[in-house]
Amino acid sequence: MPLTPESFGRFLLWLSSEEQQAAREYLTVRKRLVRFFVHKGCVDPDALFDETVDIVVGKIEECADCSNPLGYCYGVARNVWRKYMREHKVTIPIDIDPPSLPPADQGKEQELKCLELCVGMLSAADRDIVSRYHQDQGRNKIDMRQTLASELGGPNALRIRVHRIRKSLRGCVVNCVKRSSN
Amino acid sequence: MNKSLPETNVIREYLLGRLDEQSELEAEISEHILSNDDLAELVESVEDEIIEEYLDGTLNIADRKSVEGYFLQPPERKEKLRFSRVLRGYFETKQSDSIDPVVGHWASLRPYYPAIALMLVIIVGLAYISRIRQKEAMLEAQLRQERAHSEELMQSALLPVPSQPAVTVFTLVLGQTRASGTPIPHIQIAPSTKRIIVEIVLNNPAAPGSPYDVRLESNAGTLIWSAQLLPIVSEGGARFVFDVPKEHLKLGMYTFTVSATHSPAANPEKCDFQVNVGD
Repeated sequence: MPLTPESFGRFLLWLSSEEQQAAREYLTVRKRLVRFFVHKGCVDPDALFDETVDIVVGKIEECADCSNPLGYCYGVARNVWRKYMREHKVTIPIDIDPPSLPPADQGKEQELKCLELCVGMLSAADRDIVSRYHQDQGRNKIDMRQTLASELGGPNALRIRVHRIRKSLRGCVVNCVKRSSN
Repeated sequence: MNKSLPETNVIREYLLGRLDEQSELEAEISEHILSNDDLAELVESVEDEIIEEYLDGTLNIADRKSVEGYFLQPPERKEKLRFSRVLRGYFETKQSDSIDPVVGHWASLRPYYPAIALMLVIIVGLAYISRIRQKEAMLEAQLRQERAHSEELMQSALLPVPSQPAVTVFTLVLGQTRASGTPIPHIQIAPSTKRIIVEIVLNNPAAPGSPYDVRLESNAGTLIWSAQLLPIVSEGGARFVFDVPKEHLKLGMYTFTVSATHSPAANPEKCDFQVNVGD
């Protein structure tokens, strides 16, 4: 159920009486709770967040002096998730063959152009890491990643570094594609 | 990394939905993620890794079932999966090429650095041995020349009529050119000459072992003969000593051009000489 403007306004006011601060708080709460629902494998995390806010708005009178709005919202979100779990307890049959994925979408030429551009904008060190990370197949790939991990200070350091590079590339590509379509 | 963060295998179980029935551990991790950005980032990086393994096809059946039935349900993760495929395709295509003409190329060779180092050692070693052999060959050539000269002297002493020398030897100094205004050596080549041995004095020799390109050109600039030579270095200086095939030299003006192969940018040095044919 989508959040109504009235509910949203009340929710912002509850987060902070100062408008800009309320907006910042809202973005933080949203980011963290949507991430929670993503981690829980929910099909529509945004809808579950809206449902959470709806419930919180309905209880605002009860928690007017709440010192930790995020904690309160999280508690409500957990209940929303449990309800979701009960309603979506399904077993998805799987194919025992290796994953057969559909071919990459057509019309992705622009995305590839943007990716080329964004890879070029990485620092030389990051470009080297992400390139070597995706290099080779099978045993060679495993060996390369072990080499990278030892160079960067361990598997966790490599995992985080590659994650940051991917995240920055994803953001860059999304912005680039948006700009090019305008 | 903070030690209080859960192990990645626990995070993995969490992300595959296997802790959902263990409410205490699941709640502890969920709350920890909510309040700790470092952990949230680590969790996202483990997500990336699960996607990578899914695309590699290296997940076991149980994990794949969890990925397809739980992990990949949110659109955000489907988008992550899609982007990962694009990224992998991009780098697979790029692997044969170099992403960065300098960094990418050398980085791609990184696993082969030990082998490259070994090859360099072998090449340097072979070059050193080759240099010694060339020096030996040159010394042998000089020795043969001396013997030939001695034989000629012996023959001339025995024969009542002096004969024409079979070997013509001449010395040139780099820098002696018509353009410099210095006198040009005139070389007399007799019909009986069988060998022509040239000695070129090198004014500024490079580091020992550095080869030079030596070219013989006609007055019209036509290349007649060329060789890559190592100079003989002694206390008295450096010089090249070598044979030039007799048939290459006729009446006329010629130029030797000497250039260091290790320093292609350096100006080559030249010396001119005039060949006269007859008794």
